[in-house]
Amino acid sequence: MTIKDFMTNMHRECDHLLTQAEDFLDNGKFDEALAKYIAFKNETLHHFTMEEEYLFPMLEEKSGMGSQGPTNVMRMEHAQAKSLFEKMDEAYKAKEKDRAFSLGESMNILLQQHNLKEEQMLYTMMNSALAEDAEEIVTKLQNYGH
Amino acid sequence: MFQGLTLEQAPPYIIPIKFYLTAVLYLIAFSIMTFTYALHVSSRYEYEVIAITHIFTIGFIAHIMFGSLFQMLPVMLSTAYTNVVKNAKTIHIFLNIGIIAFVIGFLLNSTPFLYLGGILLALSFLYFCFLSLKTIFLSEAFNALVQNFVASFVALLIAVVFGFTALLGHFGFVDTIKYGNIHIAFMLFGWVFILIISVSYKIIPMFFVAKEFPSFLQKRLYIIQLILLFLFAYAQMQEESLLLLASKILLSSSVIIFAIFSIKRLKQRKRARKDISVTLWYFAMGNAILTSLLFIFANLLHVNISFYIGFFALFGTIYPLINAMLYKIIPFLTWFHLSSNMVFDAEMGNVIAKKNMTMQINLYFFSFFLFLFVPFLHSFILLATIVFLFSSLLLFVNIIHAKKYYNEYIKKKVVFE
Repeated sequence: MTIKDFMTNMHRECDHLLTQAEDFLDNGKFDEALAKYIAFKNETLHHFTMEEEYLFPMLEEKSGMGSQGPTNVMRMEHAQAKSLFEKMDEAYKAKEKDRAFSLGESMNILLQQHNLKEEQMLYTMMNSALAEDAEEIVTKLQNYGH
Repeated sequence: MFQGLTLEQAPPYIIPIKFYLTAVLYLIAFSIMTFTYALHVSSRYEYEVIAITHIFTIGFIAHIMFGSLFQMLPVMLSTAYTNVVKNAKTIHIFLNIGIIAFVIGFLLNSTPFLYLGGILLALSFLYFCFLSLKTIFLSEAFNALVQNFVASFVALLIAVVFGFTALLGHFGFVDTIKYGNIHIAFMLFGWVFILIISVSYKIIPMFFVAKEFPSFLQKRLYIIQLILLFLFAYAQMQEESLLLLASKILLSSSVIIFAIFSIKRLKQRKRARKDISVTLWYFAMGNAILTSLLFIFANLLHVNISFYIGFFALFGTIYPLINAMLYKIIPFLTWFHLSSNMVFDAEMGNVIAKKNMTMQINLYFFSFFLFLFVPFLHSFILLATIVFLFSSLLLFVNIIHAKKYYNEYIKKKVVFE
């Protein structure tokens, strides 16, 4: 499995968790919705941590792009997502269905366009720049933070 | 190579919004002009009809497409337009003077206005094509998405050339109908259709968390469509009636295939909650199938129903798709630009009130329903047009609300010394 495959699969898992949370919300099952939302939030934040603490610095060093290039844009969008999580926490906990859907919509579009850029360009660059150590990196990612 | 989409590279918020607001102003003008002339015209070749049609196609559709591409192409390709503020402003000015002159030219049958309008419109479209193709080639990517975009711009270039030549025909230089038909085919089956499919390949999986479209569709449909369009143009010029009929049927079949796949993808989407944009998308795709079938039958049975085909294509298919996309894009853009400026108080759900969006779309559905009665009672067109005028006015108010929301919240931007 390549770095791109592994990270792309994680994107899909996060998408799936958010849609599950919204399905429960739509059916008025607020406790189940909150549980799925928390799982989505934890998985997404874990994914951001992997990128910001491990993958991005490695890519910046190997490619010589520094921290002001595309990885910086990705970090800014992570910050935007984190600000949304704070509001989503409030909405899910307060069982504000419409607000939770609306914030979920922002989160979904933000993450989808963010993922598109990562999958099309950044992960492809990683596959190329970090090819020699790819196997070791994927193994480390699989156990990251555990 | 990858440049990301930093705030410096993304076009300022005002660029897409200015194009959208101008587009809706033309929609209002379209409603007023339809109300004024509807009872006095009977053929699509009458100058008033050509003027009204172009207010809708260039005034409304082209503005929306240009505004959206200025915003979306950089996101999808990770490459910014060069000098976007200046270029967008130039195109906006040329396009508007061009449309107004063009419409006046047809309404007053004025040669100088028609020439001025035709030249300015051709320049606007050609310059926009050049800028967009430059952006595409700078991205150094040549995946299926990029190829689809290139194909749509190629179709646009050809459509502009044939449109301008058809305009010359009004002064007796060429056969206007032949060139006009090729212009319409390259515009609708080429530029508009290929652009819609290119964007849909990304937007539907992105907004609705749906499966990707099949690879053969993404990689082959635009090629098939371009080949069919060239065959159509050849058959039209050489008066090869059998080839002309075959190319029309196959061009329509491509639309039907895409519409069926879109409906299938939407039905299988993971974000199962149904919102108004999903309804509009289904409605548009249903009308796309209906329009294509009507077009095929009209050609097979030699019946003249071009008004109805035009109505279902422009008003039943393209309009609701645009309406659906506007209500997805504008709230997100507003929120995205604010949060990129570190203004985190804004919420997408508050940018345009949901009830106002629903009311506007319901007015559109109502006017569409009223238009269906026009063949039985012609005066219904006036009632339908009035309802659509209110729908357009409300759409304008809704976009203005988004802009006001942005202006209000951007004041909270914290500037670090």
